Amino acid sequence: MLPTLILLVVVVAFPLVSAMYLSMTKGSLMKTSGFVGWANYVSLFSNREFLSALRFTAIFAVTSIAGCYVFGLGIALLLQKTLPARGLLRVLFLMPWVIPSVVAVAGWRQVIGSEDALANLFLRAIGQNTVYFLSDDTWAVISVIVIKIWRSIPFVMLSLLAGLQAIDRSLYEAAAIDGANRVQTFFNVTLPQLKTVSIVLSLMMAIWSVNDFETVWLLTQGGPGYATQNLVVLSYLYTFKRSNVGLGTAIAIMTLVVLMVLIVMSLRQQRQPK
Amino acid sequence: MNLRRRTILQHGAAMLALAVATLSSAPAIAAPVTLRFWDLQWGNASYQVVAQQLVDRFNNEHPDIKVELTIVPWTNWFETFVTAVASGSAPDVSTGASFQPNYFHSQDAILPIDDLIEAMRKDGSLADIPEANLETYHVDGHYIALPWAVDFAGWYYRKDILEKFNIQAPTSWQELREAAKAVTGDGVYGIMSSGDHDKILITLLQNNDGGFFDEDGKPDLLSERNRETVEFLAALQADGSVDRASVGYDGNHAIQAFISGKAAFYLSGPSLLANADAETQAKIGILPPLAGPHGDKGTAAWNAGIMAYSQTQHPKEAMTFIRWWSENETPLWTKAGGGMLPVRASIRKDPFFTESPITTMYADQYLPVAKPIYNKAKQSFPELNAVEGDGFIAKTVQQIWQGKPVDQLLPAAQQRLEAIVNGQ
Repeated sequence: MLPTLILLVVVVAFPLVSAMYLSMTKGSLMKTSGFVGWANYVSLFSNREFLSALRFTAIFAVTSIAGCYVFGLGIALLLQKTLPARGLLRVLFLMPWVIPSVVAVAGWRQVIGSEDALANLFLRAIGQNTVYFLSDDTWAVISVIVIKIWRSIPFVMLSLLAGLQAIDRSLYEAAAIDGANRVQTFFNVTLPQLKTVSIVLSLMMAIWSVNDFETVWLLTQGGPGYATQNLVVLSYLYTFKRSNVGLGTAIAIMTLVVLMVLIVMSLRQQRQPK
Repeated sequence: MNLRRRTILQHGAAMLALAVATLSSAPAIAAPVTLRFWDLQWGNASYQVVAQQLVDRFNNEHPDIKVELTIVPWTNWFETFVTAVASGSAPDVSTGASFQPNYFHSQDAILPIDDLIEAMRKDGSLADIPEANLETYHVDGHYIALPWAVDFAGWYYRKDILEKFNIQAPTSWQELREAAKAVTGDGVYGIMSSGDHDKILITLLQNNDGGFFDEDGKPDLLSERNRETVEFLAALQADGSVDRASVGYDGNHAIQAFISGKAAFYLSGPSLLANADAETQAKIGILPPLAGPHGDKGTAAWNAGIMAYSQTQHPKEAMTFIRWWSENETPLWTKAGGGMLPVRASIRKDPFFTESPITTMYADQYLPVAKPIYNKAKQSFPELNAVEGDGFIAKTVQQIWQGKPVDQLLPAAQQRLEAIVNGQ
């Protein structure tokens, strides 16, 4: 018991309390210059950059979760069937998850990063105009989300595949006897049986999306302009680039609060009787 | 026999006592003082090797000091230094970015080098370093770093592209705009840029006698001259002369695109061609400082300094090393193609500089019109580090290249600049 308690204090409590304290100070990491109470938090609500980052973070999280869930479930359903080279397909679908993020994002830059990139060569070949994927606000947002979905699908697919394989076959047999078609079976048997794993997955994806620094930073650094700046990028900018550790950690704590709310909501959802 | 034996024993004992006395009175061979020196990657791929050779030379010449070199990559360099200082593990000595000494000094992390400057002034060796460069690091009555190099940006151009269109090398903004527009087409653009190309705005503001601050050091981005400058960049964009995709490029991508002939002009520093082969170098020239709409010429300048940290336990040895490094750094350019120009006039006399048309152009024509980012304010201040690190300058450039309305960009940039200066 005591070692666990010590470990929790060192690994969780101390950094959290330190961050809480820093978020109520002025100054830099090297030299904080005074306790300012809740002033940093209050100022965030009139900080346009923060509100913009909050909005992008929400859009990024919701669309990423929805996107990777839909595609992940689709691929899991496909891979559950007896297909030729099913093992090879599983490995191929896992690739985006296995490739290091730096390499993956660098690869995507080759695909969408310029007028002569693969995506634009393809678009022009089919008679479409060049798309400035990373130079246009809307396209940059779409690009970041698509790449996040692409990177997350394998994990979601793998988890849902495990969930699908754990469903009791007798439920499908009963549905068939009752005359249910494929769509009815999917909505009345498969999806309800995947509820628990789906909630856990959504929660984990929410945490990973809200906390995703690398996809955004490596691809756009929050740009063009402020279009893809999320909360963790903004927190990093304030803490290190702008030498304002108080605001930086206040943003990080706010992010934590958002995540805690999500966690509590998911846990409550899970505890509800079936 | 007894006498002889006793004498021998007496002599032996005396010799032993003498030996013991000699050994005990001799000074112990002291272990050399170890200095941790963090240097940034200033030159080409061989920079680390050349820097280590220099450090080895210093160590050989100073048996009482052992310098340990660490090359800090530019990626996350600022975080590296901040966390080192914050955690009490700062190096003894480091080189650093332009306003790093000023900012770290404001955080009580820098050891002033006043005694070193005074000693160099007395023996005349300080005369090799221009007073203007020294002044950047003269803060609150203290010298906080020794400038060793200066960086600035000039317009490079592709000779082959201009020749193809029979266009003379531009001498003014207007000629640059016309030339850029004329060569744009068939996948080639007039101007190459990138999403992190803040230098283009900083440099052109100085070129047009504008800038970030007024004489009192207050944010002054809304001045008429600055508006003209942003309108000029917006006009280049409106002409279609700037690669629209460049907003999503990083600096390396833009350099590659320019070097491979996808654009006629690119604004960069003296290190642009440090890694280029002879064939590429022959195709690329540098324009003299361009005349702005009112005939002003100018470019932005950034000092690079070498500094000691207040956490050092060996200030005397740190000063010895700083001075030695400053006096012996020539191979960092001649063998490692170091970017920037040395601040020491004596080093610039090396044939490496005098025989290169690019460094000659920088030394002869850019250096005399170079101005620091704080320019009109006359005095540097710690917030300049955040001004450059914040990212709002690069974001303003991105938005210009996206074609966003100029009348919205400068007020937003001014607002951000004011927030930085006010510590927000």
